[in-house]
Amino acid sequence: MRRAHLALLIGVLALGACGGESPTSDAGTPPPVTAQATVTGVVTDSAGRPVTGALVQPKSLDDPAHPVPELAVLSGPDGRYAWHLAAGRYEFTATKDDRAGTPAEVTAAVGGVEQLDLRLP
Amino acid sequence: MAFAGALLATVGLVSTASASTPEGVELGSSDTEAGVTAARHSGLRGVSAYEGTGVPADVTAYGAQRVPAGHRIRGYATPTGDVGIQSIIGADNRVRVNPTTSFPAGATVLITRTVDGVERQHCTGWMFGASLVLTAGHCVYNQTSGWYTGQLKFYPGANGTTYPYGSCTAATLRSNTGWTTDGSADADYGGATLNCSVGNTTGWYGAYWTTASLNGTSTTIQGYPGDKAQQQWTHTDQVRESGSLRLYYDNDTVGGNSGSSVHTVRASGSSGCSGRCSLAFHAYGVGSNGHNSGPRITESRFNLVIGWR
Repeated sequence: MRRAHLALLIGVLALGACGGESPTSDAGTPPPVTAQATVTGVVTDSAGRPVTGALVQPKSLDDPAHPVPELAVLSGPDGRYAWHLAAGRYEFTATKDDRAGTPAEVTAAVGGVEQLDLRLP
Repeated sequence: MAFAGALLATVGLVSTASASTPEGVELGSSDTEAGVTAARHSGLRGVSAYEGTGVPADVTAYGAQRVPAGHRIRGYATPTGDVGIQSIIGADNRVRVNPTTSFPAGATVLITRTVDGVERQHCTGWMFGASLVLTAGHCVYNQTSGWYTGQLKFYPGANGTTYPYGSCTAATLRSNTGWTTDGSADADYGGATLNCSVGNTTGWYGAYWTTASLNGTSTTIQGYPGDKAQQQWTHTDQVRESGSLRLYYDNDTVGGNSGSSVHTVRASGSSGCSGRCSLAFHAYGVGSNGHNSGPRITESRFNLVIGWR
């Protein structure tokens, strides 16, 4: 009987160690912060003025490619944007209306903050 | 030996618990075949879509806030959509949904995020109950900054600058440890319990899980791409690859479509789920295999999100 209880306990611990998907919510204890890479910068037009509401999209250049979350990340009134991503090499493009800027490349490291300004024609 | 036995015992406990049927959940016929283990595990279980009662005369009756036409959310519209976005695979075949006052358009939710006083387009969600919106995990929780508590607003059926169902805020943001602790893209799903019951009027999507391959099953993604100024757009493709935790498809999407229901349409009376039945949560643009993707609805995920209702 004692052996059965011990075996059950080991089983529960083993499964717990495998991870899994237990429910979490913002009403509970905050989970540990995981280091990501941050890429931030300012979107400007050809005259150097900040562009608000430009959609900033990264594309992974690594092989295999990192999946990129399909968030709408739009530049603010000061043209500034920020992306939090898995570390790696990315190409960022800003688009607005029918304008697309020249893609710009960046390598982002875990815990680092890379500055990458983007230009719209 | 004892370890293996313990694992089996534990799996047995989990299996028994997860096999219990949440309220309102319809079982597929194969699930009712007592004693047929293989059929049980390759069966299909789900809950059907509900088409709602239509646009109410007064959204405040459901606890939602009225939103005046013209309310400004930061975003823009491209005339052609042809801006070289990677997750549009081939030609841009998206089609605008207009008006947005019938099902499932009303049950498709624009999610905005307000930072430094500026409200911007953020993600898409889908009603899955009177007060529950499901979406991608990264729409409610970020590994660097944590929960987006107090920053999100939910506009069911938003259509440009009109908001037929008003807006609601979140009482509770929800996800799972696979995303919030492990940051696994395979577990990138979440939701929000709203402070309103607008789902009664918008209706809600159904959902089902199966362990069988879904290759070839039609997939529709309807949501709010970031290049279309809060307009709702849709595109239909099919499942191209079925992973046990992830589905891959070639629906045309853009940033802002994250959290959309990846759904198929099943005939009335279908086993498990009929109507608009979700298969996955759209979350990622083109990856190494050339397809867009999202976490698949599995048995345990289905039971988890049903428990959020």
